[in-house]
Amino acid sequence: MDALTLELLNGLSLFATLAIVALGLGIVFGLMGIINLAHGEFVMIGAYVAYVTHANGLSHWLSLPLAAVVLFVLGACIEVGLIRRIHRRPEVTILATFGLSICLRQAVELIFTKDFRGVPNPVPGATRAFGVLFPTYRYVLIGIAVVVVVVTLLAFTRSRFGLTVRAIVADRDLADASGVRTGIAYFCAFGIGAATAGIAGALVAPLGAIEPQAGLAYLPGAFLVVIVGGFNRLWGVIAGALVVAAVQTGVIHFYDAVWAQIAALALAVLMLQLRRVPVEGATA
Amino acid sequence: MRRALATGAACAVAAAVFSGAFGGYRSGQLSLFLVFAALAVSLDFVWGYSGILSLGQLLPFGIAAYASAKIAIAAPSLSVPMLVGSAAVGAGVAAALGAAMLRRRPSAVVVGLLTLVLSLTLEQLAEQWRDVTGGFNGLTGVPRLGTFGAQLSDTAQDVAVSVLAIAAITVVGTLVTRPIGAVLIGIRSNERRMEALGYKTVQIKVWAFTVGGALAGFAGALYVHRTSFVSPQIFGFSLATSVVLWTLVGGRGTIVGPVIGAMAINFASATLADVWLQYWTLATGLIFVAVVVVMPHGLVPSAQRLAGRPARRRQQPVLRPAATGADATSGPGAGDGASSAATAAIFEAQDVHKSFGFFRLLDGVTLTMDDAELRCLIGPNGAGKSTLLDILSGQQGCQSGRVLVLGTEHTGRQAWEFARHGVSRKFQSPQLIDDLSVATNVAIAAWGTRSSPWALIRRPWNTAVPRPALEILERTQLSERLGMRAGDLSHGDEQWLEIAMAVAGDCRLLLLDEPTAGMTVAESLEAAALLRELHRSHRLPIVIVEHDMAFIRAVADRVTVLARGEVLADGTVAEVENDPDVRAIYAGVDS
Amino acid sequence: MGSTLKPRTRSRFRTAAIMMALLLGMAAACATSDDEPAVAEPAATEAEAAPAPADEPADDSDAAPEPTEAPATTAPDEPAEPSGEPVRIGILFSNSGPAGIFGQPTANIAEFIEEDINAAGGINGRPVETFLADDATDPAVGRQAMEQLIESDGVDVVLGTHSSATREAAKPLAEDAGVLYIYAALYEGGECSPVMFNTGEVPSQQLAPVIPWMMDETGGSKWFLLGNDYVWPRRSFELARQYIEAAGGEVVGEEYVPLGTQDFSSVAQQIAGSGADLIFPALVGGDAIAFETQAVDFGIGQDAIPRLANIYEENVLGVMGPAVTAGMRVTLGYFKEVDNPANNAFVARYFEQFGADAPPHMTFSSHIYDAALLYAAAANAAGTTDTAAVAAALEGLSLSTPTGDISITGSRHLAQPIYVAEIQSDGSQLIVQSFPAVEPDETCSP
Repeated sequence: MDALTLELLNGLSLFATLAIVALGLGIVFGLMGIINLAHGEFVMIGAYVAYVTHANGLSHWLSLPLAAVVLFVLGACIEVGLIRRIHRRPEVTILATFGLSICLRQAVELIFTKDFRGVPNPVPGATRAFGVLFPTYRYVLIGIAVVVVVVTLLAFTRSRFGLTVRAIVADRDLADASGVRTGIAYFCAFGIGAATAGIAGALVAPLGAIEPQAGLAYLPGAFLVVIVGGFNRLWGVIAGALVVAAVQTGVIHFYDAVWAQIAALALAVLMLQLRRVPVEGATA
Repeated sequence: MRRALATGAACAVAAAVFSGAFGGYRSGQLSLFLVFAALAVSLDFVWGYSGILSLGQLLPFGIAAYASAKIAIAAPSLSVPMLVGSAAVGAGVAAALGAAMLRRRPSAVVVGLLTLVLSLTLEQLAEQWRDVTGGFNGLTGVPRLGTFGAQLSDTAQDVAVSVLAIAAITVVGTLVTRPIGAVLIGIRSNERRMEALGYKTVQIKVWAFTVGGALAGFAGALYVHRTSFVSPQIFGFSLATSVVLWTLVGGRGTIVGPVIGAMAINFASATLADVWLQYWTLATGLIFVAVVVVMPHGLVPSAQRLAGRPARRRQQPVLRPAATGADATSGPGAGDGASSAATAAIFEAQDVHKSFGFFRLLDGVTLTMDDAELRCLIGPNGAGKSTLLDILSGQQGCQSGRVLVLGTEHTGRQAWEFARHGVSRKFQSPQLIDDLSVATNVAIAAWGTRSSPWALIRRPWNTAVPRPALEILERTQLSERLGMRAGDLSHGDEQWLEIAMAVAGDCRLLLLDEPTAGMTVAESLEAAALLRELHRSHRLPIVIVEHDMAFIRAVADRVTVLARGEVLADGTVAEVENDPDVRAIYAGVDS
Repeated sequence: MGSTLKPRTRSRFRTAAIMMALLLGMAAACATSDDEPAVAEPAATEAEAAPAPADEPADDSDAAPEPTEAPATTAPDEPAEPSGEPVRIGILFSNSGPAGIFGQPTANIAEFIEEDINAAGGINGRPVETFLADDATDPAVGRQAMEQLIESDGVDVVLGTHSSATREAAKPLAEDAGVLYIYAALYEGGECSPVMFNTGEVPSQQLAPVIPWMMDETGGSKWFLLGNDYVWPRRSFELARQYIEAAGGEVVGEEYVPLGTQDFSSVAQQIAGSGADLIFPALVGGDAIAFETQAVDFGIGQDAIPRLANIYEENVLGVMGPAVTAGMRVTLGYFKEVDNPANNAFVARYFEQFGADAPPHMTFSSHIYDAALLYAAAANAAGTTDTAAVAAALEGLSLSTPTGDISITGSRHLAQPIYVAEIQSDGSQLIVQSFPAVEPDETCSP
């Protein structure tokens, strides 16, 4: 019973991590149709913001808003400088953001070297709840991640800004013609996507190593979530994270971690095959 | 074609001389980079030519490499025949993947992700399946190429690998100079258009994917003999993206580009990475971004443009009129149309329903054309006119109802089946293959209804075109601009070319969606005259969707009015114009 | 026929010309670099400073008199300044990719190799020059790097510190070319080739003496083995199981995770539920950091279940922080804290030369240094750099280096000291146990 509770909590924390790491990727794809292969690097830079915050003796909690701001600015600059020029060609954005990911990785390496960095856990230890001891920071992580994911998704689906952005998604030309300011909407969507990645990076920083290559490790998980959850549904991030977390935790529990990874990849292949995708129509 | 072969032969000789002159390290580098170039060309063929963004060219490459390694280790004398076998393995892998994946008509993004994820999955599996793949360290000690117990020396193998890689590249380079090359470009730039011309686009794409897989598989075998080992990282992210970089930088849709890209980047990398490791890596990232943004076509096409040469200089077909005998079967109408029309309706749409979400586009439309006439379809925006044309040409299916075309049940069939049965379609906005010349566009339209990939390799460029198509080209002076890039035509000329293409195939029913949009008044009256003449002289049944009443009065035998997805009225121009319901809809607009 | 139309004429040879230009360009490029390989190579430019004017060696001995002791044990007493065609020492290492983090110490130590061997009179009176090649932690790149060292740089010997995958890919080249290849990284063991010597720690050395010691020290006997999923952890655990059972302990769990694993919650729970009182983590880099930082909060930190690690090195331990690491034991063939006069001076000189915040000298760089000294000693003894002769001289060769007393065994591995360091509460490493001259459990007769 306790073992099951713990496994559920493990699954829940994996779910929360996956959801917040994938959130920005899902937003940027769902709203802008852009596959951002530099998303993992955004997360990685978020983790470095946490490191710099710590190195300057500041509270870890401060790094969450800081990372959001830093990544929003970075994301917005990238949108203006790069994405805006190419975003109507989805396959081109794959290539451009891939090149961008190399640049970001290498730039971070030049600044921080490739040494591992870390930040200490701000709330070490475990908390007893539901009859089991579970790491306190993971409860915090689950809480913050769920709040960030839900608030962001609500903002995009319920607020006036969200409606504007979705109107643009539905028909960019029409939105242009009807005076909706598409430029600002895209700018914000990409910036917010990057900002959530930054929060994700700062949030997971105390749980592992911070290094320039770390983005490569975050990206596959985020993609699995978005693929499984569905490309054009923002709330799919939550469903996708749930399914991937359940599959991973289940396979690790009953078999092992290596096959859990293979199972997740196989799941992605299956979903890509099954998912109904619109026929690529005329270029008009 | 001869040029491609000559280029290949010259390169092979140059590579052999180079290897002989420098030997050792440099010849080894050259052979390895040529293998990479072959891999890049295989990606170019499926991506640059056929528009399939495969991030998984490493699947056939790697699987064939493992297969070759297994065979060569077990039986070294089989390594040479296995070169052919590896091409077959690569083709098989690609064919299976292509058939499973492309049949669902995924978007480019989905194809890219799927192939990449599959490749990464295979990397994991290759690490796990230790008994067969050697696990993390892979298979090592693969012997050099050899047969009958004799093995090539190191330098001899370098030369052999270089020459074989160039030969394989040349084969593909030759393929794309054949008509199939133009057809692949057509499918890449406008798949819907090509399908409406009668091409089985999915089948052709699977074929192209298979050919690309065969080249990748062959390259995989060369690679494994060249490096004497293979490990799971052959499927890894790093090589997968490198191949894309080489192809992209060199220039997609040119065979030479990816070869230059692969050679240049690998040589630069081998030289510079040691000196400025971090900066070189940063530079590759910047090159990637810069190429995508600044010169998305890549180095070779951009260099050609800078040098003031047209970016794409392809073989141009010579168009000649189809012989009178051929007219009866392949030209529009003639006597044949009359006889079939006598026995069955030209088309018949029975109680057709089509909705999109809650919006009913067509709500029980029944429409028939019994005799070869020139019919106009009119109606306010959203009345369902274009949708009806889509259904009559197979662009869209309908949710219920039946469609019969030229005497045959066509409900639920694909667009290419309609096209091969004689239905030609011109879309509302011109849908040309912009990158190809005027003549090639017409030729592609003429080949569409009877073309398999193999036939498109063998057939000559020069082609017989039904007289009406040539007449349109003559009358609009397009015949003097046959070498011009279609994308550079004026809007009016694009419309004319569209119409010419529509009648260039096996056209026995012509569906035109707003043919005069963008034309001047004089041009549209000329269009009316031309269409009437086409209709009269070849007894060709024509359906035209139009708004311009002056044009309709000039051209139509009969007019059908659609409104809110239903047939509102049907009759001569005068009858329809006097219909009170129609007047109510068009109140104040016309009459 | 009026409507018959002619194709445009084309330049037939444009493509051919481009290809030819490319090949000619290549030819030109290699012609220049073949003429002047020394200038083209980065290592060579570093070496430019080293082939010293007469006062250079004196400078070195001023700065650090002791280090010359090590080479001095095998070199003539009054070294003459080496002259003539240099002996080329290739170093194949990981300077980028996941293992790139270990690259800088090795690159630094390459300078010491040149300085120290040349200061001691070089090899057979000739100076040495090092050539570095990066495998990017990728065997395919590693093979290309090996080709460059052997075929382009023309090295006499290759010293390697990189993955086993790269070794397997690169080895055939050394065998074909008859170039001596000393693989100096710790690895799973089992390598045997006529051109190879393997001087890194093998699991039998790291574990055979240390596992019983660890059980005595902690009183624990129920081991959990957690490793990344590749050949080295698997082989380590296979041997560990034997030693554990021989010492009366038991293995209560053995788990493998993919490289790059970030979430260890399920694994942590399995460990907690296994009843283990000792953990042997064979995890590398970021995986080690993620596991240890997460494990603490699951109540299975070092304070609850002691660790014996076989690869945790300073950078990784530093990131985990003393709160996590204090008390952990690490078993390796070298730590910079090894306390002997030669090593103390060597380490002082290292930080003096490369800065106090340089990536610290560690077991990988130390084994490369030792391998170079072994090669120099053997080549001096053989009086030639001929591979077979040097290989013969290497067998049974003994040497005293900052690492301690080392000797090549009949199995072409290295009998060497094994140290156990315990992490102190301030994060420093303290050598708490050393096992001199531990023999590897290897057999090889190529």
